This record gives sequence, C-alpha cells and structure tokens, in this order.
Amino acid sequence: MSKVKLQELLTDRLGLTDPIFKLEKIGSKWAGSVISETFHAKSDRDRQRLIWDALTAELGDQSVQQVGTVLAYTPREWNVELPERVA
Amino acid sequence: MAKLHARNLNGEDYRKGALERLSDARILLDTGQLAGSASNAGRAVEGMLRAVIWKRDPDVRTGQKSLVAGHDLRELLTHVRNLGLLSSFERQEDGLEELVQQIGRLWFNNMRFVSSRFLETRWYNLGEVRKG
Repeated sequence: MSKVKLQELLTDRLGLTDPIFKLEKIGSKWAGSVISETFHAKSDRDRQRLIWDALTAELGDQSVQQVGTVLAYTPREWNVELPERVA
Repeated sequence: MAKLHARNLNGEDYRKGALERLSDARILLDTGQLAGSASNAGRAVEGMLRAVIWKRDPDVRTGQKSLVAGHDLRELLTHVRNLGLLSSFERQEDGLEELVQQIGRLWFNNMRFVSSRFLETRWYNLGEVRKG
C-alpha cells in the first residue's frame, strides 16, 4: 500500500479535519503520526481503536502486515510552543 | 597517558541506563520535581525501546546502523509494533498500544528545557492533570 493510499484511507474513514501525516516506512510497514483536531476530546484508547477499526475494515488481516504503530495527536498536542527567549 | 577507546552502547547498557533513569524519575517525583521526573521517565522509556531495538535489529547490533543520533521518543514509539511488542491478537486487549499513545501525546522533545510550572500548565491544558 502506498503512503497516499493509507493517508486517504484514514482521512476518509475517520473523517479527519485538515490532517497532517508524518508517516515513514519502517521495514515493510508504514508507521508514524497523524495530527488532526478530530482527535480532540477523544481518549488514547478511542484514538487507537478508531485507527485500527478503520484499518481492519479496509484491509482486514492485512492491516497488521502493512501498518505499524500510528499515533494520533491534536495540533495542540503535537506543537509545543516554547518561549522564544528567556528574559 | 592511556588512550580511551569509545564503544557503542549495547542492549544491556540501554537497559541498565533505563532502569536508572526510572529510579531517578521516582526520586524526583517524590520531591515534587515534576519536569525533571517526567523528563527522566521519558528517557527511561527511550532507553527501554533502544534496548529492544538493539536486541531485535541485527544491523544495530553489528554497528551497521546507529542508534546514537536522532530519533526522539515520539519517533521511537512508532517502532513499537515493528519490534513485535504488539501482536495482531492482543493489540486491543493488552493496553500497551493505549499506553504508547498516551506517552506520545504527553511527551515533547524539549521537555528537558522546561520548568515544572510550564509542564503543569501544558498538561493541565491538555486535561491530563487537575488542580489541587
């Protein structure tokens, strides 16, 4: 499966709003992070369940052969704004 | 003067170091040093992951691939499934994937630079900690 196909799959199945993907091929599997406001107020368990339910629905048993760990963040969780200078 | 010979860290080095960082984290937490504790706990997780990668990846073990540079904790966490730590049968039940997601969500690589106040505020805003 291509990276684009995986991104489209997750975007469509999860109804992601303005998603940003940070995926890389590790061995034979795609793994990485997806950032979207859609994950706001969803628990860690729910985020993983959403992702894997979507992958399993689309790919069946092949999902675990083609996809590794995918972590879900909101933009606020992903970006850490540090003070630019110390007074 | 004796010449010092550098050697690459091996799996046992990473494992022992991780356990020390975990112990450090506990001591800091008990004395109210949240940022130092969280930072060390993250390093412990990183060390444990590095130990498993070292054990499972022959290229790392033989020095053909290096673990010394790069890879922050969030990146290492995405290797978990590839390391065989999750099987297709237990991924939803053992809770490990949920914990990996939680660590990834709360961790940031600049954590070692911030104050406990900064960390408390960030985690409060993310709904992870409460006042009181």
